Amino acid sequence: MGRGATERDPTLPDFTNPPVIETVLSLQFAPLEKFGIPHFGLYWEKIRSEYPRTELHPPLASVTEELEPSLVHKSIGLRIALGFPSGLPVRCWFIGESGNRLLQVQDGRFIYNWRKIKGDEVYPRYESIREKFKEEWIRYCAFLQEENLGTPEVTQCEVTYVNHIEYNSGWEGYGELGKVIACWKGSYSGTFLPSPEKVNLNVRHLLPGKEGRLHISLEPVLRSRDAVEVLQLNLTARGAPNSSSVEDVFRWLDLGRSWVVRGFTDFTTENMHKLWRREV
Amino acid sequence: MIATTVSGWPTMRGERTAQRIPPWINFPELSSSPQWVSVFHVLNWSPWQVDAVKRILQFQSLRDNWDSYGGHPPSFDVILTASSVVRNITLDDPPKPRIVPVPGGGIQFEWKKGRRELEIEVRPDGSIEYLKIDDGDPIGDGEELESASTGSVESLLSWLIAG
Repeated sequence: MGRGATERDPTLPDFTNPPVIETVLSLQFAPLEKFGIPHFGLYWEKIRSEYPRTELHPPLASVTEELEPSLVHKSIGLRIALGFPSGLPVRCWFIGESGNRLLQVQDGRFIYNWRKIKGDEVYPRYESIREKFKEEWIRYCAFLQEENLGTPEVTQCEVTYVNHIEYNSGWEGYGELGKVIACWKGSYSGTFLPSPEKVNLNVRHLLPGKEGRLHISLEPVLRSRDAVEVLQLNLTARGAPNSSSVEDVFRWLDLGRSWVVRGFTDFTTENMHKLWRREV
Repeated sequence: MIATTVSGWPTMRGERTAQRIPPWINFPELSSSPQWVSVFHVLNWSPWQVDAVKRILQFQSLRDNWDSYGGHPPSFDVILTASSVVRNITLDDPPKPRIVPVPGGGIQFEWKKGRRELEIEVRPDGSIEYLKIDDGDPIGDGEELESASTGSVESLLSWLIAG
């Protein structure tokens, strides 16, 4: 086994005050034939003491990174299934007592979220989020076994970091986006255009060895919690694990997380790294 | 009036009856990604829309008895529905509304143009009512709006502007 789950990779960039406000770890798997609505309730019984609140949401479409040219679509990219990924039109949220932790369950998806709710919480770090997710995934798989629902065949692993970069903190507006984004030159070839009013960017990178992709998106958003407009920078790494074993699934998540952290560091400027107090 | 429905969508109580369009329908960003922190994607919003939704979001901080008369704060669903009223106004330079919380937990929009006035209230149960006033006289007793869709809201604004 490589570096332990609770041990931080010392070669990864590290920030004392990163702008991350949410971390999402997600697994997609082939829908389980016998999984039905009552199983949401049966599963809740197992976790209710830790996740006492629930909400119902529409299911997420399944998203698969296509890394080989498709004979049908003649393209390489994302495959997003239309409609519900399985027969169940439900994604159930199980919300932790503190309001910082969430488990999202639908047939074919298992997602763990950690988020800031007040804004001043200390980011608990990937290692601890990963451990909690691993615990929950093992518990979920045990539940599926108990109910004779089968073993999930994991098809895609996903790591997302949501960062909120506040205005007037190292930059004053979109005319100064180059102070935030390392690849943004911030000037035009002529003098006609004024500074942009707003900017939306989507970039994607292939992970070597056909391991998956890193998606980077940057866009202005209005945050509901405090009605503040911020620049949202999302990094999502997605790809297929070698197998559905816990070891392979978490090895892929570690790889994805490494790409998210290194990608975030490369994508943003040293100017901002100083504000976020980069240590490594 | 029968509210527009999404048939077959299960309610929190497990019923499978018709119900109003869920308020997040107008904001796919809130329901189509695994992200939990809720945000509105404002790239293509007008500055007045951003300001109006900021004001609506600030009503979240109201507490019970905020008006000293036992008033309740609006729920997040009411806030979303009110935000969708704003989001769905696509007219060029529309009249800007005054936006106020209503004691029972609703949110009201008020417009005045010349002799005409228009009020749209998102009620605590998520339904939407409107009242047209011409020269100080209400037209009808208040009607229910089927949804906060662009067509519904803008047809009311067109009446206001034509006054």
